Amino acid sequence: MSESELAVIKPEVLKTYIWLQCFDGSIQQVEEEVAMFCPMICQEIVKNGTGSSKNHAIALPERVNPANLSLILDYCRFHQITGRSNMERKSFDEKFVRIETERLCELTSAADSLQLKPLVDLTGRALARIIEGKTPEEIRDIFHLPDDLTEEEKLEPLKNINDGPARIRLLNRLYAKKRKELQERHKLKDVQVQKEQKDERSLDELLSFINGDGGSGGRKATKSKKKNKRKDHVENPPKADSEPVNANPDMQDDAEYPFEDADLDDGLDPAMKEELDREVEAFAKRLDSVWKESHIGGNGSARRFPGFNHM
Amino acid sequence: MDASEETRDWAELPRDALLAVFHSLQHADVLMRAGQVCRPWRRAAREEPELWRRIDLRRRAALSTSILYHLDVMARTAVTCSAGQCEAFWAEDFVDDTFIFFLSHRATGLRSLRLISCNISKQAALNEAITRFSMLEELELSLCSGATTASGHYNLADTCTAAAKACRNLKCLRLNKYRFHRRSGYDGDSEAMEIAKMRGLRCLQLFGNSLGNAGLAAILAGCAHLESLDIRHCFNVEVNDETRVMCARLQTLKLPDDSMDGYDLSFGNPEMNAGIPGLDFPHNAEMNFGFRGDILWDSW
Repeated sequence: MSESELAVIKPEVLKTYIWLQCFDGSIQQVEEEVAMFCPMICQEIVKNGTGSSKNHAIALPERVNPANLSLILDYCRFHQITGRSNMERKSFDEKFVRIETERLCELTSAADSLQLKPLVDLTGRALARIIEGKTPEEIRDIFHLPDDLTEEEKLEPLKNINDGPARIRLLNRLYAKKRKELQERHKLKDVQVQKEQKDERSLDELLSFINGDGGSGGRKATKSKKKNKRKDHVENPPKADSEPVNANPDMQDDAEYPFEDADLDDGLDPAMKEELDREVEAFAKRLDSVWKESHIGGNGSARRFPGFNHM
Repeated sequence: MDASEETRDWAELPRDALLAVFHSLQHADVLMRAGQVCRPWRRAAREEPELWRRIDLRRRAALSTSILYHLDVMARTAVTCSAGQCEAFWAEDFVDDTFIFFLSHRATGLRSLRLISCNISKQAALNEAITRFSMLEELELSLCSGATTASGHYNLADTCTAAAKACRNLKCLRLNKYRFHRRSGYDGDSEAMEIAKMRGLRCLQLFGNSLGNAGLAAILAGCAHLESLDIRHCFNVEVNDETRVMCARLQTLKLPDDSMDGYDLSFGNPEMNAGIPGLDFPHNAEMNFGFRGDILWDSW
């Protein structure tokens, strides 16, 4: 081919292409310089020599579907051209991430699997703007995420909006202590119930009971006794007041990580939970009276609970 | 895609991608919002020390009151999450002696420490903590209140001594008062004389400090590598030809009467009457807020 003929050939014809295969089997042909903008594809070409033909197409990760790939290639096409101003790039990026949240999330995953860090950062920033200032519940709704945190994780001091740090730690420890106590009490109750269910009546008594002659009086009595016992227990919970605020020496340890206090199991039944809440409320009220006196410092900053400045 | 599949995909956003999102959020939002969404997000927030290498909990307009109220607890969590890898810790308002003690045991590799409007009642605690931060390159103790000297002035000379001894890599120092006080019978150069022992210092900001010409001369003589000096509102310094000659080698220089443009902290009007004690911390009635930028610390 003569030089004059070569000059007529369009530059597109001289471009080299790379073959890419998505997880669903679809194959795309992409300009080499655009494809090479993705580190993962670049590695495949350099290390394994794949992508040069349709039969040896580069297999893309599962998260990269054809729709995401075309978006990613658009991004690469724009950014691989040198000489663009920062203003142009910024403007392109802003428009590029103006897509629905679900798509943005998929794009972030796809860019991450192709090791395309600039795009991961860009989509990450866009997702951060969506999250900013929203409550965990709102974020869950937007991203369709499961609410799989345990009660313990949700009972963390950070969630308690009305409390100061020292007070939070006290309440948190109280919660931990009371939950343990209640669960132990619950276990004891179960043992007691099992004992009570053991039948020690004679054969004659059992026969008369079957024949309907009564004989169930004793049984009824134990049942009502047990009911009364439970009622009494709910009506008179152990007083939180009896426990001094700083009784526990480890409460003083401010240098320790404050979230490791309540390392407990879940699964409290509603009655136990109610009882626990009542006790904590009583404790909180008592704590409040002391707290309010020492709460506001001279400069409007929250002062620590008395006895916490142990240095 | 059905609902359950969608849930799974979103929760299992790749860790690196999730971290890219978290890196773009304020630390308070990561701990109190994103980190409380679901288990994978919580794990990403708490089990990735990289996310907490640089903790910035300075006051921001975006932080709600409830979040501001929990800064102490959040800061402890953030430092713990950093697993000893924390390199920069910036805080405003909530830091006290106990927190300083906590920080000095959990973040000994700190390279940048900036504390603004903090209440340090036992200066010995602060000094001891400083000695543990041997890798410190940047230190700020601005608008601090707490332990005062006999003259009623919050003096950080001992802290400067501790920093000069322990922090051999210290390059940037920022000790800003809320306002300048002219006091008779008070050695205003005590801090300056200790700062002069920080041989590697490159940037120094001393807003409203009581240093005089002797203190300034000591600093310029001792800190041979000094490039940037800000002594705005240091009205004990008499700016004359000699002063200008001494400061000629500096790349950036702000003198006592220079404009307050670019100063990023609150400040009060100078107290020029000798012998009248004043406040060393912000007083709500006369707060002037500048923008919150980083003048000297662009590298961070």
